[in-house]
Amino acid sequence: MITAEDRRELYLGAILLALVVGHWLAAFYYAPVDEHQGEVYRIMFLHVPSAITAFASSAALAVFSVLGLKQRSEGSLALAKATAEVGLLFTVLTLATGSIWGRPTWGTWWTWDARLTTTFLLALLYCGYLLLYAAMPAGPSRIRACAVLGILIFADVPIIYKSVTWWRTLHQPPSMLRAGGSTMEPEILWTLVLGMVILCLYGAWLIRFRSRNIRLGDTLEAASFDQLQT
Amino acid sequence: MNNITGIATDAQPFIIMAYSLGALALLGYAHWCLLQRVKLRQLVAAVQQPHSAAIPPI
Repeated sequence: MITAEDRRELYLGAILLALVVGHWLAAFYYAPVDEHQGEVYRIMFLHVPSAITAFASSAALAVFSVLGLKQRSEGSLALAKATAEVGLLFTVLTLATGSIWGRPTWGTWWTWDARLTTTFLLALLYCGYLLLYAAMPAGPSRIRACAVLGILIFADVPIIYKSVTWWRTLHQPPSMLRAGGSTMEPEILWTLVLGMVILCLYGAWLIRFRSRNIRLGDTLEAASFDQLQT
Repeated sequence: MNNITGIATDAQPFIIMAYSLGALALLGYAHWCLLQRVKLRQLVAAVQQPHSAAIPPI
């Protein structure tokens, strides 16, 4: 049973998925081969946009958490919970694709490098948020506790970003935002930027879609309770 | 992409692995959300009918 509103939402999702596929085709056929790494660098067109979406999710989680604290509404909490799920999804994807890229490039699937460890910490923090949400009964105390953790999670993002300059790491330093401008070929740079925009839009769509499910779940719970009382 | 310490070997299996995982994650989560939406719509419609027998009391 799908309503007209659901159908419109699904059409938008399908369009965004088509854009993701289009970007992947550009990553394979438009972007030139990297002179140092060869073909394996094409994993970056999935890895970097996933990381940016994971970081953007934590910023969105902080915004929804602040809104939740101000308004004390279950609506903001539903959005925040959906954002934490999507953030976890993209953080795990970032770690997995980075690991797959690391094997042929660094010769190892995983190393406790500062960038990798702080990103792994972000995944754990998202898991902690979801566990906290699941463990507490609905109400003002859950809204407050989840909001505080949601704001704290965002504090990890600047640490992840600066980790490659603060510590000696195997991970490469920033390639895009650096003094003197990016050293990337324009085709590579623009394909990467396009991927970031598209994946962030798809992430936002996932957050909206999932948050409406959470709200529907709340409606179902309230309706079941009302029915029990009649 | 600068400052890469290693030399890429045969990349194809790694690229396929990464993009397959990406497709699985992006499609899988959306598909799970869609199935959940369908189920929730059915349950909400059933429970909002007065004295519905479709759902046993919780």
